[in-house]
Amino acid sequence: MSHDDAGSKPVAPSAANTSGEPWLRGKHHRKVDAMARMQGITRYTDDIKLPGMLHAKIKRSPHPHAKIISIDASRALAMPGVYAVVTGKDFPIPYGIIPWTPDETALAVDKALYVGDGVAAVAAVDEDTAIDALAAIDVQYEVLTPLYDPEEALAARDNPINPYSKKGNLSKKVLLEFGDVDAVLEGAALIVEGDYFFEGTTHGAIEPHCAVAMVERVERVEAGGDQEQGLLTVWSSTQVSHYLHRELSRVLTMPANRIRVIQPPLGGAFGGKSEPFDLEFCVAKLALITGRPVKLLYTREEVFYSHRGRHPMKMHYRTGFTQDGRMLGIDAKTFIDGGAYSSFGLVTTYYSGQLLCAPYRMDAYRFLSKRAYTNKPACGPKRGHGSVQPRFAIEVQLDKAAVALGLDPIELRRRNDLGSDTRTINEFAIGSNGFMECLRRVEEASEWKTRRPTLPLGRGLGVAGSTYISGTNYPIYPNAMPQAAVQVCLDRRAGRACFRAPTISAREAIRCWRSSSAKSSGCRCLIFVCCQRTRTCAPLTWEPTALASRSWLATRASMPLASCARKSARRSPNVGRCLRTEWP
Amino acid sequence: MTARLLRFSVNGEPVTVAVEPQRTLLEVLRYELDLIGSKQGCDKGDCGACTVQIDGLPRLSCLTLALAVEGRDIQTVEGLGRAHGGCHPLQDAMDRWDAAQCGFCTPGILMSAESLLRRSPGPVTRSEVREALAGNLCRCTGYTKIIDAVVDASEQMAAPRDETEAAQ
Ligand code: FES
Ligand code: FES
Repeated sequence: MSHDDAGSKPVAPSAANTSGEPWLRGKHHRKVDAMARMQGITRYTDDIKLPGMLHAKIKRSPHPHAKIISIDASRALAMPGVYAVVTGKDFPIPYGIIPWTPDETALAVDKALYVGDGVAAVAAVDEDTAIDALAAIDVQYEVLTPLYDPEEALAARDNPINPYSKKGNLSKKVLLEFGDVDAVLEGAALIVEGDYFFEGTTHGAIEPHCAVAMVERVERVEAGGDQEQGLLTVWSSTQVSHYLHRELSRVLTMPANRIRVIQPPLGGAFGGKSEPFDLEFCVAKLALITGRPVKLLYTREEVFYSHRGRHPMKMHYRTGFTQDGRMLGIDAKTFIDGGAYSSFGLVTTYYSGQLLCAPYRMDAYRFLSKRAYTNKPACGPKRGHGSVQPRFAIEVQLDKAAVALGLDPIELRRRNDLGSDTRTINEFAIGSNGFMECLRRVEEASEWKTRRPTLPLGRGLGVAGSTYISGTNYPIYPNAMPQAAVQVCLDRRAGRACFRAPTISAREAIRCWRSSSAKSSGCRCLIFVCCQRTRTCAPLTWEPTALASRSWLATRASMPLASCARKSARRSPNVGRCLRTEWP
Repeated sequence: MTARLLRFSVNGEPVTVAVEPQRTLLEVLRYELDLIGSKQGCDKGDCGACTVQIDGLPRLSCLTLALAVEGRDIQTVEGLGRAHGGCHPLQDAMDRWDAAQCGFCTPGILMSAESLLRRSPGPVTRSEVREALAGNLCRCTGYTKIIDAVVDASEQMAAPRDETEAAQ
């Protein structure tokens, strides 16, 4: 029931843990860092200010699809206070958050693919000068036909949007079938069939993306070459410091051990900051060129251009039921509007089908999902990545079936219980399953039976079930980079440890680890959340298990970390060496 | 454009700073005075993250030209806990209720809420809180815990209770 109803006053949580009380499992603890955030002390990326810092801005395409004929930055470069201009030609190497689909460049090289695609960036003494300089960069375009609809884009094979696409405008196709769908639908007493359209949404984190880069010149450390590049540090409001590190190295052709990526506290992300963006490459390159620190803060408008929000999906679903409301099978076809780049689209396309098979049992399932490139800002992961849209379609079908069969919607869902210690039709292992309990409590708390029939026109009570995978112990894609790195070191005062978790989930991981280890081991822990310091700590990087970058995964997975860490510390020859743990 | 000298008070302290006429109060607070507690979420009056108090009333500092606050009294989140040993009862309640997640909207919410509590004689109602926070967007929490916390803080301030005992 909503707490917004006057009268339903929840009980105030305990005030525990302000004065050095031990951290205990099962006890309510305050967040480790919330008070500093509330006092305005916490330093987010835009709060970083370095001596001599320049400000950068990106010039963006006003056309949804256009060939770049020429870029002339001479007028901008002649302006007082303008230090450097970079264009797509400075970053010709494509990258992608998924290593199999590198189809994006830091700035458009030959073509702009959507309104807002970056074409040039400028570093100037302050933001106003940078904005004036953008207006003085002359870009000649040849406007091309834009494609906005995924089905139209797929049909227009001779007008490929993305220069790196291999099959026209098809970004990814997944077809999987489990059991004999045609046969079970044939024998169904009821078929519910319909089209569903999910329009797409964006994350809207309140903190706009921001990045700062700094280059430290270093002494010649090795013969033969890259010493003049120095050491590059990039602070970014990113959720994925490791991936950003990997892609910076690739695009800037700099060895990874010359790059350090630091993730300051984030002002919200929800998946919207989980891949590299143009601003990080631009500040890095501009800092390398000018030798000065460079900052770039997106405007709110630019946040919408960078997007990576939930994909629009056009879904056609056919679902068969028995007379008593048991779901027999689903035949799903989905067109996914991907926007100009792949982003996480390969995963989204797969998830758009694979995550549908719980919490309900079914005998057969088939899905065909196609993701298309279109001339729009790229879509990507947003909380509940890939599963929300198909969930909307199937839950509506369940409600329609309930009406057709004269069943209560909760009862219909109950009849399709998947159960525990089982496997879904697509082979996901299910351990415990609290869905029935959950339904019972929702039914009670909402006063489903008594309130539902009495609500006036325009008011209603609805129910929907959902699931998401977690603790799969498998990264989003197999790769040599850690999904999260945790470093633990026992020092000479026996049992004192340092812990690092360079993701957005750090806080939850720490909280969890602190309370899980405190009691069980008797080991006192000193915990630091800080940056990924690949350069200084690379030899100590330790990968106990694949943690996903999401907070809930890390929270779960961080439980065993304490013991893994202790084992690892015993084995590691590096224990006892100095670890730098201070906040940069 | 030519800078002018601006004199005003921030969290009770007098400040003099040279400001160009196009600068917003938010820019001056964040980038000139290094008061990073007030946040820029949109820079166009939509999100409320930049909310500060001007002469005690919540105002969007991104829509306020700095030179317009000549001689005025500005309160930012940095000054909120000063009279309370560093932690205002609102901050404490928000902490207990888990009402700050990423914390980016929180300074703005605190400044709107504090103004409400100061102007209300006793405990506030949920609808008063909703009204007072209508201009503050939060993408993390879903608002419920924020409202819980503000109501709780207002009760706590009206009739202080021992939280540690209540918890046992
Ligand atoms: S920054 Fe002022 S309202 Fe958003
Ligand atoms: S706590 Fe993140 S936006 Fe409110």
